[in-house]
Amino acid sequence: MAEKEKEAQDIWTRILNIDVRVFYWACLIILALPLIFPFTLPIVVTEPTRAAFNTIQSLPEGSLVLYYMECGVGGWPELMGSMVASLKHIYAKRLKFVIVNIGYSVDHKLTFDRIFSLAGHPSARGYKYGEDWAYFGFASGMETAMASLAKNFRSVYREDDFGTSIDQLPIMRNVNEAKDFKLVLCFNTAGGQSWVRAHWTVANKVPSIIAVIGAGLAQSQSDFKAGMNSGFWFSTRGAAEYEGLLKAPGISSARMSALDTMQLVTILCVIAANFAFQMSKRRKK
Amino acid sequence: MSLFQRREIVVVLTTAVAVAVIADYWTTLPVYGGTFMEWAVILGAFAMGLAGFSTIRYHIGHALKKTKGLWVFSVWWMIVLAITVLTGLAGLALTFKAEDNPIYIWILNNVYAPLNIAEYGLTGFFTISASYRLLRARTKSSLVFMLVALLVMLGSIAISEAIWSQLPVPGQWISSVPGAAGERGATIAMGIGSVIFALRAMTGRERGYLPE
Repeated sequence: MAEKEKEAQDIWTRILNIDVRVFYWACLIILALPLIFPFTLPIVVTEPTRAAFNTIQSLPEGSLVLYYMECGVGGWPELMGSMVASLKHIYAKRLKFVIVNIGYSVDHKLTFDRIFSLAGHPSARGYKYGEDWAYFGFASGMETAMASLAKNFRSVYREDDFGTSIDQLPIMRNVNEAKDFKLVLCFNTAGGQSWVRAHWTVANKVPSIIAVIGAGLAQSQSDFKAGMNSGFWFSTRGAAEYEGLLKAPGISSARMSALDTMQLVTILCVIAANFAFQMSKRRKK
Repeated sequence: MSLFQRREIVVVLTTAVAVAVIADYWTTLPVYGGTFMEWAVILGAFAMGLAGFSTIRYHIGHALKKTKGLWVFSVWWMIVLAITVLTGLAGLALTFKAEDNPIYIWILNNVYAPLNIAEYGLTGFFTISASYRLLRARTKSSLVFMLVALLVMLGSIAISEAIWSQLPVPGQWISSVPGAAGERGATIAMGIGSVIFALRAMTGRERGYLPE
């Protein structure tokens, strides 16, 4: 009897101390399944995503939007979906947009190319460069640069990313401060959302929509409830909801099955570990 | 001591610039706060160069001292840096394009981007492994912590909605009510902390940034 108990105790202990390599291999195989056999589950649209959709939807044609990428390649898995979906919405509403990047010096061009390869290049959507959209590339200065942009756009960017003087771009005629923009879209992996909140939304009353990675959810929720953003996209989930609202399933809807599986595996792992932990404790007693 | 190294001079300059920027934010007076912010943007560009220089110095130091467990990575880092800079310059010389020359773009597309995304993806595996090992109900408070984590996770996946439409509700409530309240408290505390830090800097009580 005692031997059997000892054996059982060993099993629980062994389950609790499972080799990390076994874990990683199991995760890899489980994660591969939804990618090989994708499944789609209906997603309920949350309030912030619907608010973001309504905000863009309510803008009149030709309104100027600041498309602020504070995101590098590392942010693609969580933010690319919302970057692409929002651009598709901008195209559909015939809004004008100006792209800036503050924070990611190395890979802003990759992100820029990737968005256009997935959402379609503006020229293919009838947009004329300089008149309907412009790309200003990277500027250093972090929060100070964001604050300066809101006060005097030309103090940060004197020319676009292709070397054309800002004054030669018709889209920037009579545009030089936050109040000249109707909306800010911020794709944020670090501090971008608080900079937009402070210098654009609170100080200049320019509505903003934020795309956040998982770690930014609490701050976005807090800002949304306080009216400091007009909605937000929460990681892949928020982007998938948005794709549903746009009736244009894209990369996020496709990724949701893998993400759901991974989260479910995490939940099951925690439950299994706790069951084994309690059993092992009981045996020891 | 040199005039430029005197603490009083630094404090007076800090206070003058801070007052100008604050006045510029709150008033319409011509106090040139915007000009200082423009300077800060330019200084930011210099700071990037300085960061590059100090990183190189850091790795050279480890490589020369042969710091155990570090020097190999420092040498590797410098080799990769040299390859990137040289190929980037070669691309610039061949195409007269600075950062969007084909060689540089090739490195970014085929080396940097996949490695960056792979590194990010690996955190998923670590998260599952860490959840398995750490989220255990050892005490009452850790039980509450674990339940909250499980409910929030359930609140963010579509599978829970497919099982029962009300299953994600507690998790969504936790993140939108207590979570947002906690975050708001942290944001307000950070704001007050920033104001206190600024006041201390302006009055010369904050000494961390002053020359020794």
